[in-house]
Amino acid sequence: MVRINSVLKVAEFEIRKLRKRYGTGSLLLIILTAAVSVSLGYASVLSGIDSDRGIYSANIDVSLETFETSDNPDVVLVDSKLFVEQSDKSLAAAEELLKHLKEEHRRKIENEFGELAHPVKVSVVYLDPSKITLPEEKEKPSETEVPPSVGNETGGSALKNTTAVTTMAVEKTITLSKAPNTSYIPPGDIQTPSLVDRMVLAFLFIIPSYFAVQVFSSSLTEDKLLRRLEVLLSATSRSDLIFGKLLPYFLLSLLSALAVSVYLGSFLAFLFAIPVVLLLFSVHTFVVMISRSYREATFLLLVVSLLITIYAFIPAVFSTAIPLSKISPITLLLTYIQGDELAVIDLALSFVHYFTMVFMLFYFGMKALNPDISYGKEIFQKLVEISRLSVTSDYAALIIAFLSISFAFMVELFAILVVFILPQQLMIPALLLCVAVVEELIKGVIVFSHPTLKRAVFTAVGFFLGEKILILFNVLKEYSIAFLGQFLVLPLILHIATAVTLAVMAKKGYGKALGFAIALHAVYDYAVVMLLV
Amino acid sequence: MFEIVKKDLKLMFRERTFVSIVLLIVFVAGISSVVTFGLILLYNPDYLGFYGSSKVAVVGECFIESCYDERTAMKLFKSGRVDAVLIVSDFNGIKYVDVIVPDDEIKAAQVLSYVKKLLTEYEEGLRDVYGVPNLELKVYSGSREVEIPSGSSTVFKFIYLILIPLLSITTAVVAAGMAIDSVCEEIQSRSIEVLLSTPLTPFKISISKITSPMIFSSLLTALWLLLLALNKVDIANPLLAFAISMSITAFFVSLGYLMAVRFGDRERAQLIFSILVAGSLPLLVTKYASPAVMVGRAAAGAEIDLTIAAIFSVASFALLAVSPFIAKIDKV
Repeated sequence: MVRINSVLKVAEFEIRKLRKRYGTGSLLLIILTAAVSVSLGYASVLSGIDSDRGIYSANIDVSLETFETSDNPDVVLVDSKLFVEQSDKSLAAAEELLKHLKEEHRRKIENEFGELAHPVKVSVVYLDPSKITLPEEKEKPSETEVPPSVGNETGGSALKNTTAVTTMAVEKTITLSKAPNTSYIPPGDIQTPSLVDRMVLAFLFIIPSYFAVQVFSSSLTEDKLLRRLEVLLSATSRSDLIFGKLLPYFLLSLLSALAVSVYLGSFLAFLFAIPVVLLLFSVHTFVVMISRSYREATFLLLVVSLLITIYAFIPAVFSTAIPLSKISPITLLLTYIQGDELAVIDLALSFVHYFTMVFMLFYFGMKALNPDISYGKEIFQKLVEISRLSVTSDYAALIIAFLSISFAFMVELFAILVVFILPQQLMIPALLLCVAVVEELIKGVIVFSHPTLKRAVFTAVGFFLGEKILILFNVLKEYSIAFLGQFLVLPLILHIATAVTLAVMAKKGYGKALGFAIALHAVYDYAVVMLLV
Repeated sequence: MFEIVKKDLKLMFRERTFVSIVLLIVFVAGISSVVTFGLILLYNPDYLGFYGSSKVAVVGECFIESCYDERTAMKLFKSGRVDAVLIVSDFNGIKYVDVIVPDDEIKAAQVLSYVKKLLTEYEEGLRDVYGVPNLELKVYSGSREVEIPSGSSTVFKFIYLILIPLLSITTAVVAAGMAIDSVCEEIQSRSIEVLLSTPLTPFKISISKITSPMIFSSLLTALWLLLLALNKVDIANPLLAFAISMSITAFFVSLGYLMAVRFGDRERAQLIFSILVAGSLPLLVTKYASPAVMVGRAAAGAEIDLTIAAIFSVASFALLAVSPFIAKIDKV
């Protein structure tokens, strides 16, 4: 159990340590460095981008910053013909030049012909199709009949007529329908919606946490390597120690996210950043515990931080295209800021998924706070050792296997990203192999804690239940082929068979046992997918 | 002295440092197509160019085949059978078009790309009727007429002016991190005192502490240049790109070393170093004269300011060479 007093005491100790390290001199230096950094960033904003100056070349003088004249040009313009080579640079230069020439031509005809230079003018209206309510039909409209345009008389919007016929429950439409002519633009100027701003917003919530997490893991590594943790452990429990050390940094991250929320005017937005921030803290705790040195910790932390960033942010890029992207709290954060509705089930799934991983990483991190694990041994050996300390009964194996589905899910999503680039015929076999490797590794770590038949069966059942939960919530709907989602008994038999293999072969070495189980899993999956699906 | 370099490099391999970084780079290179696709989608949704796949319903002035009355068009839009409704009305010969698209960004981006193309063609047709000249320009590759893929320039600039500079900076940051760690580890675990009691001079110890990250980053730079080339990204001037990239590493490693020796603890050194790098990152990737941009430009085969490149390289390596004298490892 976590004792508040004890946690606060450790937190106080951590703050004292921070104060000592970051005394007036260091603090001033950090503030100065931060000020220099902010000014450098601001200077880049003020001075704009000129990295593309003269990056392309043409045979003639083009009044464009990105072009220079050259004897060996990327593109050659002769009369009304533009000659390109089949290289990326030449094609890119041609596109840029064409865009420029179109602009020049446009200015010319605008000067000469005025209004007629753009005989088509456009106004874009964004509407949610499901929110359109069509009024009761009075008479059956004919397919070929084209209604008269009401907008003609006033020169106003053509939509005026439409809104009269269809009641659209969107305020925006009504405002736009009354907008003056100036809102109409030539078709070439249509701007497709850009998502960059939204991503920048999402990063604002998380970036300060990276610095907080970095200082936290540095301090933890130092305490671990100088064996201070062992001394502190004699006075307090593992959980109090970790949470106490973490508290000041977590509060700092929370405050920065809250500040961004207040700045944006959506006060609860910071809540969505919590799962990601906590995942960063928990994974850093775990990595520090299993690392032997600063060097090892630095690189492992770099890798895991990058992976978590990808895992949290990439889904947000595809937020509206792929339903699965809602698994990331960042996607939900952006939806919330935009003022769109959030489904409770999406919220629950995303938060439960992240918090399960957070809980397990903290739990294993605390178990790893042990001199036997801290120094020496290979990483896989350490994992098995941690599993031995954590999985104390067969029921614990069932629960941990059940919860570990969150990690399997995360790694398998990465696998989907990676196999995406393979040729089509290789995609399914590669995905099946990845799934086999990930699932057997996880089960292996649990089964090796005590390789008996009973433990193997409990692990297999736990893992199977976890998988079924995912299918139940339709999380893996699109990829269920790879997880044999449509079958009930087959996956259970598979998991039991491979887990038993792991238990039986554990004596002959973990490598051999895992290799055999993975091969069995992959072949089985492939056969079932090929024969039955 | 070489023993320390060897020890540091050996530790790096033993501790899976190199392996994890290589795996990371391979992973990033592996998913780079997905990430690039996502980023370009963010930056320029036009690039998707799903021209053929959108369906539109036209109401009013009928200029394509799929014309309907408003009610049917809205019904089709509501049921998802068309992706956009175009309501066209004429006013003094100018066609005003209200384009109704779904309010979901990705779908809107797809359908708007198509609508843009459709209406531009409509506009060109009308200009012909009204006697307004259109831009007549055809693109040829040899004697064959070709169409330029939309977004070519964006992708090109993304790869050479963002991705390559970032790879170069990341390599330098990783190397500097290594220098900070290896110096701080010796100081904090007090093994520096043992080292100093050996016949090795403090200068030799310092030099070896900055040599191993330099060797590490040269291998890493060669690796990512090779991976890019394998990904069919032309590297026009690999040696120049490599040389400038290494001078960035030299500069960062010197900074890392100086901070590590001055602070004596990893926490402060890493924190201040990261704040500085984070602040200078925007300048490093947006400026013509930035060495990181020069790496990308050299790879793209574009001209660079050789004087600035030469001054920066000489200055960086000079700083690296004198840093053991500026911050003496035996005075900690």
